[in-house]
Amino acid sequence: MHYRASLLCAMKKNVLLWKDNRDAVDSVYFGGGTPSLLDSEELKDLIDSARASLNCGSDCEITIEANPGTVNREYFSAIKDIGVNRVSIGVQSFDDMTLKAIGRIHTSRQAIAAVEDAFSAGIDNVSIDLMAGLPGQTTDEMIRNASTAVSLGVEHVSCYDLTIAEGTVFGKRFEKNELNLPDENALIEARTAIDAILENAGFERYEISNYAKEGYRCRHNLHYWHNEPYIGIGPAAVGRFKDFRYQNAASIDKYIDEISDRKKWHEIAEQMDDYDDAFDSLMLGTRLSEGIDCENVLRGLEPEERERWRGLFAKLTENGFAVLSGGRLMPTKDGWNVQNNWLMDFLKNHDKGLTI
Amino acid sequence: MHSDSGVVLMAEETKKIRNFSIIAHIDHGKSTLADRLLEKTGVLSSREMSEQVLDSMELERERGITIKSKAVKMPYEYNGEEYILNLIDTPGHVDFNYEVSRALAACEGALLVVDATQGVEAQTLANVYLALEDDLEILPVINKIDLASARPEETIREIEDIIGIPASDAPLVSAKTGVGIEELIAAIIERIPPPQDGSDKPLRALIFDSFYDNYRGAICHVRIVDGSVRKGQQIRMMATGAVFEVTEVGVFSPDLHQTDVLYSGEVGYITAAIKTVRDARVGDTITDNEMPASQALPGYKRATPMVFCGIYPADGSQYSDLRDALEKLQLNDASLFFEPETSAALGYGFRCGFLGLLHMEIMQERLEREFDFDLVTTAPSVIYHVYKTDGEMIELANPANLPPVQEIEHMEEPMVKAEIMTPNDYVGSIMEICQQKRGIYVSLDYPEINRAVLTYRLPLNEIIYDFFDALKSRTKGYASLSYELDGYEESDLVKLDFLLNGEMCDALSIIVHKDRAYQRGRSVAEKLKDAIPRQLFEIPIQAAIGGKVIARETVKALRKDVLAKCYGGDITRKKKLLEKQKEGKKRMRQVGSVEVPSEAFMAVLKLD
Repeated sequence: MHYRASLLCAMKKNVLLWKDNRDAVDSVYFGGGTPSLLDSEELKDLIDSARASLNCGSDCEITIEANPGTVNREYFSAIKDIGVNRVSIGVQSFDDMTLKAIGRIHTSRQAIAAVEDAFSAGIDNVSIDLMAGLPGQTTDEMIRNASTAVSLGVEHVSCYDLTIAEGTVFGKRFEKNELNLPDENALIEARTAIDAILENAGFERYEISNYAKEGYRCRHNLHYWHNEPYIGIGPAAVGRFKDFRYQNAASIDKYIDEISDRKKWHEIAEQMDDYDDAFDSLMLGTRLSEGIDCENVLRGLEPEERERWRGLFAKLTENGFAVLSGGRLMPTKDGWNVQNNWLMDFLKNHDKGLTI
Repeated sequence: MHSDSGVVLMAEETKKIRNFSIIAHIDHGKSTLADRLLEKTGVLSSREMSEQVLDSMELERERGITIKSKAVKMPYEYNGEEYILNLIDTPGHVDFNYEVSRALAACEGALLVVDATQGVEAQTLANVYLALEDDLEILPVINKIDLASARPEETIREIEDIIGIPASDAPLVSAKTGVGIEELIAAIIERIPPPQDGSDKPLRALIFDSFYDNYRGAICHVRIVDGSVRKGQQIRMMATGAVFEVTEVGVFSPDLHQTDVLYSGEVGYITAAIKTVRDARVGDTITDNEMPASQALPGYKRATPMVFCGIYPADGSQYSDLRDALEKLQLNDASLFFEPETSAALGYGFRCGFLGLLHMEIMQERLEREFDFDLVTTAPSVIYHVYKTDGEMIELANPANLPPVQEIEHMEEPMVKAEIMTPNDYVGSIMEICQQKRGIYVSLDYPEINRAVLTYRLPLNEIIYDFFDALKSRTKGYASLSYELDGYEESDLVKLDFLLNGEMCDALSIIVHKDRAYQRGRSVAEKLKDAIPRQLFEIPIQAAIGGKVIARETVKALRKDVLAKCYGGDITRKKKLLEKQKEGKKRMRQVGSVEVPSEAFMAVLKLD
């Protein structure tokens, strides 16, 4: 069988393996890598198998990630016809110099065209990814990107800061101080302005780096942030089931073999106890403006441990990093800005590490 | 006891022994020369030789200096006779003069290795004087003659002029290429005297080094001066009176090689299941328990620790492990001093005393590498004499323990006499540095064309910070320094404290001269500002004398970290990253509400 066909076949089998294992699935997300490499027939095959085996309703949110320059109006029409109702376009920036600097193959014009093509194909739920803190990026450019998003009429915007990871090309250039990165003040100024522009245009910053118009929050990603179970299909895909997170084999060959074997098709990535689970709820939930339901998160913990967590909630409130209201702990923008740090402090004062 | 004929036989053997060490400046090729001797005498074939066998400590090789003295036995046939050459290795840095002296005490001669491209260095001189004091035969050796820039005639003249020993027939060698090594060995045999035969006297063996072995206990490196020692013999440590039964004797070839007996004049090792390190003190004399010698061998010039600092385990639970490690290091380095102390900021640790700054750094590195500790070290200090109003005098090694000002009548600080040898061009710069460091000019001599010796009287506490670095950088590395303690002098000293977010951090306190306090306070506060990572709140850093703040810096609050995405596949990775960063934070010290990284405690040390 053709390589491509065997992978698709394995993925369909992978879907089947989760049959009967779950409640209703109300979102499907094609992401990671370049899912637009699949033609609409192949995509349809996968969506159909999900609908058939996973109790997928007709109002299911089906998102696909697409990179400008690799998609056109015909593509969007085709995927709309088979049921895709949301696209997330990896724009990153509307500045050609910046795009080149970060090694993107598309131009600003192609990015705009991709958004317009999606709309004209009749997909009305369009999200774009933007990045802040890129090398050489000015505050103005970051702000302009948000304005362009508004003028294009997208319903959803993700705006992340550049993460420099050790060992990557950027990591090495960063160590050599070759990256002309905007400083903390520029990033704060830009973020404040971006918030204002998007909020003015009817968006809400509902997550630490996500903005949506009313009714357009990403249903799929909300499941992650609510610390709910999810199924990962395909090589290297991650899922959460009961009290563990798993990861499928990363090598395509190995993935195909393991799925066909049916004995073992994923590795346990993380076996969680109540403490780990509560920490996930805290870490993920405080990414959301709605925050967490405190008692709900504390439920599985020992009384003594609960007191420690309540201490954290009180301290966060005291420092202006969160507000407590109606039993919910909701982060402020300041609290979002330093979330990593207060999470780390919290972990530091706990003898037991996370089970990872 | 041995038979009479055995003794006579041994007296003949003793005449074939040559015990010697090598004196050389750093980089003048001592280790390479030692390797070449090992190779030429067949102790190691060139194939077996990893480079520089004698410097077996990883740290020594990296720094290119020899820290611990060691010994090796080399048999060699010369004019049809079988000779035994015992090479006892010596360290080459000013901080280790003490160890040099004890190695020299086990020898009859010393090779003075001088780099034909560099000439005689001040440092070498200091060791030569030690050797001359011990009545050793000095055999000059001109090394690196293979280099184009070698100037052997000039070097020979320098040795004769500066040191005052004849050098016209000094062997010319290249340790690197092997040229002249045979002639050198011949000279060693011809010119270094054999040990005096003491085989008819009761056992006296000098411990010149010792190591701790987990299975055999202390391994004493000894020079048998009188008598002999064998397995099963009852021996007594003359200083402590402790008695042991010898479990093994042997020689270094260069690994430990068991033999039946060690005779007068020989160099080797003794093990005797010595479990407590205090019982195998370097410098002690071993004698026979039943027929003890009446008098111990002259001890070494006892080394006085001059530089002190607090050493704390980063993980507080490792306190007793740290004590064990210090005891083991002390076993073969009696100059290392330590006693328990506690700090509000750092918890339980030790105040440790060292011969100098390099000695301190090397000990810290050995603790970290050989014993795998994560350490927090405070800024080095010296011993101050604090005269209190009630007439009591305190010897203060830890600035944090300084009594309140109103109880102090006056204070004295240790002074050193420093000799700096330099090419003429740098005399001006060096005088400038010495002036800055509160030095008092003593003399300026020109023992040779283009070579000056500057003598200054300097406060030791100025030398232990960055004097050596400043000297090296301002003279392109040409100047060399040697110093010795030169009494105490009354001085206007103050304690400089540092407050982090309003809380005094005892581990950062230093004692400085009043005139230097402002400048010091400012620069340390600046260093701390860079060393302390930003936290979720603003951290004021204050330098204060008494209650008076003299400098202030601020570590601004951290306002934003990277807002990354976090979807289904990112969660585990993100938690791993948080755990990793948490471990980094855990290694920091908590001073009140402030997290202080270990390096910050040394910030007070490295100033420009």
